[in-house]
Amino acid sequence: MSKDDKNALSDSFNADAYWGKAAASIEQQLADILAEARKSNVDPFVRSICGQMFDHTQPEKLVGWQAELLIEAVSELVYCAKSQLESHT
Amino acid sequence: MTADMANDFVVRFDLDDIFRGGADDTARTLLDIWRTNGGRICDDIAGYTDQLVILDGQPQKTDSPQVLFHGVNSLLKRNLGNTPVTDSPQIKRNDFSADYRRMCAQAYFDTASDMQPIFDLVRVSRPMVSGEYQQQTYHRLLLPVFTDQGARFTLCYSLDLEPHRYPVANSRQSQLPEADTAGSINQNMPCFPALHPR
Repeated sequence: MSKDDKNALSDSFNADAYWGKAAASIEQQLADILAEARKSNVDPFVRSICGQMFDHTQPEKLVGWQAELLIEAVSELVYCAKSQLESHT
Repeated sequence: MTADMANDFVVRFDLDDIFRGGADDTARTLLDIWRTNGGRICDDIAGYTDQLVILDGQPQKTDSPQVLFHGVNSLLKRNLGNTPVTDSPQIKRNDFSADYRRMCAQAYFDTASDMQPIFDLVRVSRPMVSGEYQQQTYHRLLLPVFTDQGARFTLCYSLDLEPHRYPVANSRQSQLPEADTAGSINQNMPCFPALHPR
């Protein structure tokens, strides 16, 4: 496998599969991501991104399509923090 | 190196040039916040995510890091994020040309390795795989940040030095309901478009 192929794989992170989208409600997926964001201390970014998208910094209040949009926007960031921390332990 | 890259360059500047008028107020504020907090992620610096690109902060020698998020007012989003080819809410590393990624990789590696900010000037002729935008010239402030738990990211603030471009027709942005509002209109758009081809 070439280096570019590896990069392509690492870039094609599947947020849906990772966060169990098929199994959980959008709101539950968001709650899981927010819990992970707090655990890895990237929640200031998540709140700020929520503010950019919805003019408030309380991501836990989002439901439906708004929750889905936020998940799409922050999942790679949160996943990256989580995987970095897991690789340290 | 391809023929396209003949005029491309990355020139590193002294960080203090930011305070000597080499950048704008946002760059000065970001660097101030970074220095005050020693690179730790805080609400102050996170408040600027609309203008930043957030990248994986683990040092990688041979390639630019993975793009994790780009703010709605970042240079990346404004100039490259609405092209038809990249009509996606997330821009991936593979959307950028290999030449551009290699050219930018060293500064990302250095800032992530040394955990020190870098201020440089970048000129690139072909930033995207799609071939959109034949030239980009911009100042770039890279800020390495970390969480208390040890996760690391690089924040990139870019300042456009190219003449302003027109909004891209048929782009994702122009299809959004709020596209007709004054906030989405490029106030710097020239009056006589025919005289200023992109």
